[in-house]
Amino acid sequence: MWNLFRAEWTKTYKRPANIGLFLVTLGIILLGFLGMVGISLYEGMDSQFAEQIRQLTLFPTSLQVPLIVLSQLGSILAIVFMSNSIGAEYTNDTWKVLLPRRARRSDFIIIKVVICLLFMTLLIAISLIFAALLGVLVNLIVGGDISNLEQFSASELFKSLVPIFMQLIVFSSITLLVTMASRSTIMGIVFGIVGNTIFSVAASLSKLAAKILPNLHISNLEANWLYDGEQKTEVIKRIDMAFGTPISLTTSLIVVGAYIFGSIIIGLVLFQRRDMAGQ
Amino acid sequence: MSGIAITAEGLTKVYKNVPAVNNLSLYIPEGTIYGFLGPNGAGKTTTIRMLLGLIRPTAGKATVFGHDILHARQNIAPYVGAIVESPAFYTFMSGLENLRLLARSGGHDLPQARFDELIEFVGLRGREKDKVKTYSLGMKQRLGVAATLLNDPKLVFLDEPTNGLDPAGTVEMRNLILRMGQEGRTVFLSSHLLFEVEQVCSNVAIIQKGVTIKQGRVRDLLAAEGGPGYAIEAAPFEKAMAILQEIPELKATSFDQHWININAEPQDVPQVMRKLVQADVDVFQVVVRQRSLESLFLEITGNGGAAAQQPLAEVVVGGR
Repeated sequence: MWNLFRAEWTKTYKRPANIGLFLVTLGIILLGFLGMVGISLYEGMDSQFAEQIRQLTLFPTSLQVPLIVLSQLGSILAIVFMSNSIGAEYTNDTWKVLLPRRARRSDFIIIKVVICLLFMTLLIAISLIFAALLGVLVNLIVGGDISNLEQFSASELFKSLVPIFMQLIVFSSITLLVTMASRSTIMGIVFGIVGNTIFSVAASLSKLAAKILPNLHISNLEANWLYDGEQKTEVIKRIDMAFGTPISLTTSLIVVGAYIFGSIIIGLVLFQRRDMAGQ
Repeated sequence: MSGIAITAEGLTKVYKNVPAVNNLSLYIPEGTIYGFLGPNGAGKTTTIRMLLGLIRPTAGKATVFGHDILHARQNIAPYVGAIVESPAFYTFMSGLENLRLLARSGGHDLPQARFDELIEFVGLRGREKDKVKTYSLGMKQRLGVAATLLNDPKLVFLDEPTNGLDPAGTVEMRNLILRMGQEGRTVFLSSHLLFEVEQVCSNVAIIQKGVTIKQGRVRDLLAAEGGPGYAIEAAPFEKAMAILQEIPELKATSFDQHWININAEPQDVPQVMRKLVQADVDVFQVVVRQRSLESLFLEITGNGGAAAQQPLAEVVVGGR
């Protein structure tokens, strides 16, 4: 499996689409910082806005920028990555050169799931480091302090990252199944992105849909994970209203887990039995 | 030859009620270069994909080196290499990177020397670090051959390996196949190019509409289907033809109203000539006609007629 992992990883970092995903993410973060610098320079270094920018770009507050970007885009990036990772093997008919080399087909899919998680972890880590460096650079330009290390808390950072990971794992698993069933990168991406939106709308319109679909359960888990005290009670109350009844943390965990593992297992069974008759 | 490389019994694949391969039987001795012949759509690629475990058979059974293709892939994968249809690679990577990736996908971390050896073998030295998207079709085919040999397989499947190659590329590929055979590998060569198969294969199977029509050693098949004969140039043509057709065992035929083909043993030829001459027929030439795999194929797949006239120049040994 180690050699298969190395083979898949080589493919991953050489694939132009994945390099594109990296550049798009870093580009959006860069644009955010450039915008802040531009406005600061326009408003003047002594302005109130410039002072706000100094605070925002001060480490570790500067990490909020990539966290916001990734919370909005993380699941889409994972959908595109996973769909391309599996779909490209169908499009280029490369399964036929890979599959006869190993006894177990499932090895390929398991490694692809592991690589997807690794890629997304790296993307998040590099985005955070990039934002931290940009923050330092911006503060050098707008004349603020470089960092405020006392404010940095690894556990707080971890807490913010968990919901991002959970979203991307759920939707990349569903994308894996759809891409495998349709044998198409485009279908995987379209269903992943459109499905996410449709799920959200359906969950807000129907209480039954809310209970079946993963979105509100993810929100339930996030609320339990991220918030404390009154804020937590308030958020959970709103979520329970959407469900139409109180839903326990365990139920949400089971539903979300079922989406993740169910999609991967069904995908594996499908892949194991499917004919590779070419394009 | 030490054993049997491939067997198939009643191998069948049906797509939406249409059989792509129908009750196919194969028996391929180890160490042979085996030609798998059939017109386009005969089921050659489907058969290869089934033997490689890419497609599940609808019915029947097949083994590779004695191991069931469905349930003992762990005993088959390490000994098999294949090019299925057109070569497929990761075009954003170099030839060398593709080879390394494919080796690792099969669980092998090969030393650089092995890649150098294979690159040399297929004649890609100097281009191995270029991206595959810059390769010609012939180079991709040769890279495909290198990829099949990564794990030093005992059995190599080559599915139409000369498709799209120019004449020089075809000759290179033929030489590569012969070298694989000389190294003791079993080569399963699927093709519809009969001349190519006749050049390199010792054994063949001919399939049509998914069914095996003939199977065996090339020279045995040619001998059994009539063996060598003679082509006679005589005038008047109609009179000569009528005389020869009076002797049924000669099986006199003509495709061009000029040459008459007969099947006869050498000792019978003088008597046949005498009969023609005594009937005032002028005999201009008698040449040995060597039967080709192509004429055999066209005859048994029912695609004779006009197409079968074409190889006359090739099959006449001697000539004017």
